[in-house]
Amino acid sequence: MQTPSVKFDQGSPRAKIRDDLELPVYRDDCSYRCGTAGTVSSSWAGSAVPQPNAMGWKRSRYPNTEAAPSRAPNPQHDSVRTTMTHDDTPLRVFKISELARVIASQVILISKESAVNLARTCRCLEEPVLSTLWETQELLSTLLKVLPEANWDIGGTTGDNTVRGLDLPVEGLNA
Amino acid sequence: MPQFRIVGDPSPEAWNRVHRYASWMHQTYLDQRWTFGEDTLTKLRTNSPTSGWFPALQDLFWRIAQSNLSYVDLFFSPHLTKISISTSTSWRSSGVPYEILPAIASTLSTLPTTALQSLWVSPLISGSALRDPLSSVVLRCGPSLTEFISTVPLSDAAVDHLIRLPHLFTCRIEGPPPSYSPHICLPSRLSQHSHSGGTLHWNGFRCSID
Repeated sequence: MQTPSVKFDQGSPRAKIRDDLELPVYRDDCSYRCGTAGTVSSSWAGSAVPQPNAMGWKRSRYPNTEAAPSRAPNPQHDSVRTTMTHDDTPLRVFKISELARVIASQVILISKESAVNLARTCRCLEEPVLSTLWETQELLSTLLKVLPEANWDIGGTTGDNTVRGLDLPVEGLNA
Repeated sequence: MPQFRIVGDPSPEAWNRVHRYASWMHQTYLDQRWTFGEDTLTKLRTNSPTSGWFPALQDLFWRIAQSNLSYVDLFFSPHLTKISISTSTSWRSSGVPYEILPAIASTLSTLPTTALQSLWVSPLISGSALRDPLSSVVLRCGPSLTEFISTVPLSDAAVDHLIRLPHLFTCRIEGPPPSYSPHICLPSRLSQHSHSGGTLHWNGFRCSID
């Protein structure tokens, strides 16, 4: 059986590939391939059905490494769900921990929110970014929030306005 | 101002989790944004590990405020290499309230100086009220100190000790030269700093090594 393939123009945004064609975008480890463009070949047969992960993205493994799909292959559908075979050079950079830390420290200078978002993009970056974030903590309360949620509470000066899990001034929420 | 409270008695595993994260912290910034219930601080102190909550903390920026005076010592680590001290923004015009000066002085006297390399005191903190506690901090500083910047007047002994520290390459202090030390500008010291491109000079009431 001939393997169907889909060609993308050079420079196609990866986000567009993911959103428009539902190609698998991975974040479980650094062994996956990613890139901005290239040939996409179907390799669905024999692989597991991708499940949305916590980020709402589709996840897939390399073929023949997991249990058989729970349904019969659908050629029309499977022609879209493919494994990308792109250059993984960007991820190889992230595997160098020193460089990843430098990247993380620079992103944190922009904003901590950006750093948190960066940590969510790839496991390669998760550890260096989170480490850098935890190296600098401005609030003791942030640290104490790692206690079980039942063991902490945030209230205003009156004790009436309780806000859980937010670093926002109570008066700001009431405004 | 929001108040953080610890509710109930967290398990030892929960405290261990806090300590694991706290052990990772190298730098922190204390200001007046949060207050803690007295029971919260009591629980923190009761469950403090033997090495302290922040054994790896190296860089502490402390903006003195009434709300953090009660717990800033939790952040004192023997590995602190850089301490920066400023005051609450609300005191910029009126100055530090007289009634909390003893508490500040008491806290300053416990600053760890074993590994201290840099001590910066904001120009907002001036006057002679903190002269003695800051002088005692300077006297406890060792050869690791490379930078000292403060406008708080120091005692003669503290100034003398300070300028004899071998690795002090940035020093800005205000006040007259020590009266009892005629050898304040030792030729050997001057040549040492000239060699590294810096000079030591006492310009009126300001001494600087740059």
